[in-house]
This record gives sequence, structure tokens and C-alpha cells, in this order.
Amino acid sequence: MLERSYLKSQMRNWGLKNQSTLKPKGDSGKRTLMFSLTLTSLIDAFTIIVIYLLVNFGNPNQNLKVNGNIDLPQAVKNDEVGEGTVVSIKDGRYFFEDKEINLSDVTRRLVQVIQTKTGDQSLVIEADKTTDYQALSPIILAGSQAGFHQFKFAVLQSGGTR
Amino acid sequence: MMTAKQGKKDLNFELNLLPVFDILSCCICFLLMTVAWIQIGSMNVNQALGAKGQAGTENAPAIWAYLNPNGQVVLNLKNAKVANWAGESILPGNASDKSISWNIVSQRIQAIHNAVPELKTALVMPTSKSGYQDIVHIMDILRQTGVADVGISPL
Repeated sequence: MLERSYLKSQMRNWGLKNQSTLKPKGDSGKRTLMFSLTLTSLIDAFTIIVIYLLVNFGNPNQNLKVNGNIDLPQAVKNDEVGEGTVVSIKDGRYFFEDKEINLSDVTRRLVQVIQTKTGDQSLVIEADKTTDYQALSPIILAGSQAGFHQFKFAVLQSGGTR
Repeated sequence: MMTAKQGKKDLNFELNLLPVFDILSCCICFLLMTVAWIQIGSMNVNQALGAKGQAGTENAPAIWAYLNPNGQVVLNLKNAKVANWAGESILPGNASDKSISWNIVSQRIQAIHNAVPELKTALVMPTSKSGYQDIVHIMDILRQTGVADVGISPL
């Protein structure tokens, strides 16, 4: 029964057995050109890579989609973004949930959000690191006036090597 | 009629690993292409809405950090006293490019926090020309030091 097993055939065709310098056990020193690949260890390694990638696939709570032209500032000590109303600032223009709006409309839209949604609301502010505070401050003021009490400044997670 | 030898099935099971290998390769390719390598976090700031009155509440030690346009940072300690210190530090910026000298700021904040361990509140006071990166950086330094509640003052 064991004569036909996969393990036995692997042992029989095992390339290193012939190449042993101390006590070669192959077919009387005849080296085989047949290369038998052991897939089991390879699959083990692949499975570990798949599990690692699945675990690091991404934060499910992360609802922030950063456009390519926004270079976020870096911070070592940061929190999870989580849920929130996103206001972006790109080149002096303001975007409310990816739709461009005037600065004068920001407060009205934020008040609408506060009135329609229940529970603790937070305002996620997404801006380029070169943005002046002059452009950022109206959003904080508008959020405060609307009733937001938690502001989340989107940052890139840094490993502390700055 | 079936003999005993013919009816005896081989109990060795050989799994064909090549399809498993293919599937895993496809999974790895898909995950490598779609995984988010850049992790986005947030710097959370709780702003007071002014609903509660200040009467009867004990003022906790706080540090106010003013970011001046020439790279100068002024640290002002409120509601706490440190021996042999007036409560205000004026930290000069880099003379060459008028940027903030972060090493000095970090060391000074750490020294203040060591002197006042109960210091948990900070307020960042930027100017209109303060950069977002600088604001986030000083908030980051404060939080790394142990100051948990960091606020920001609107213009």
C-alpha cells in the first residue's frame, strides 16, 4: 500500500539523496535530472502571506478617501478616523462629502447634518499640509457653530521617523 | 463477480496541490494590488461648545502654545506654577528659514510636563499664516508628551 503513496514517491525521487557525499543512496551514483518540487512548504508560505495581507487589508472603519493631490501631514500619535462628516480643502476650494461648496454654505450644510443624524457627530477635516490656517479656521468655526464638538484632522500615520 | 483484491480501495489520498497553489497566487496578487499601504489616522480635537458655565469648576493646569509667523513658539503655562520660571517660554525659530525649531519645542514641552505632571490640557493658538503641518506637529508633540486634551483656537 505504501509503495504507491505520494510520500514514498517523493522519497524515491528525492534529488538530495543521490547527491549526498558521505553515503549516496541513489541509483548507484546516477544523478537524476528530474526535479521534484515540494509544494507543501510553498503553500504554507503562501497561506501565511495571504493571512498577513488579509489582516492588513485595511481598516474597515476608515471611510476617508484621500485624493491624490492632497498631501496630508504626518503624525505619530494619532487616532482612528472612524465615522464623521468629511470636509476637504483643496487649493483654497472647499468640498463637502466630495462635492464642491462655497464657504458661506458650509455652516448651513453642517447644521443640516447635525439635525438629520443622531448621536455624537464628528467633523473630519482633510487638508494639504501646506494649507494655511487662514483657510482651515472657517471650517472649525462653522463646525463649532453647527454643534460639532469633535474635530478630526486627517493625518498620515507616521512611524516616528521624522 | 468481484474478487477481494479488486474491491480493495487504496486508502492513500493524494491531494493535488497545484490548484490550491493557483488560488493562493491569485489571492496574493489581488491583495497586493488592493491593499491600502497608506494608513490614515486622525488627530482628534474636542472643542468646548460653551454650554457649561465656568462657575464652580476648578481650573486645571493648561499650556497655551502660540505659533508666531517667524518660527517663534511661545509656551504659556496657565493655572500652575513652576519654581524659578515665570510661566512663559519664548522659543526662537530657525534663523535661516524662519521655521520652527522642533527639537527645542519638544524638549521644552517635555520639561514643563515633567515639572507639572498633572498637565493634561493644551491649547494651540496659530496665526493665519501658520501651516497645517506645523499645527499638527505641535499637537502631535503635546500628545506624545502626555497632554491628552489638545484644543485649537479659531482665528
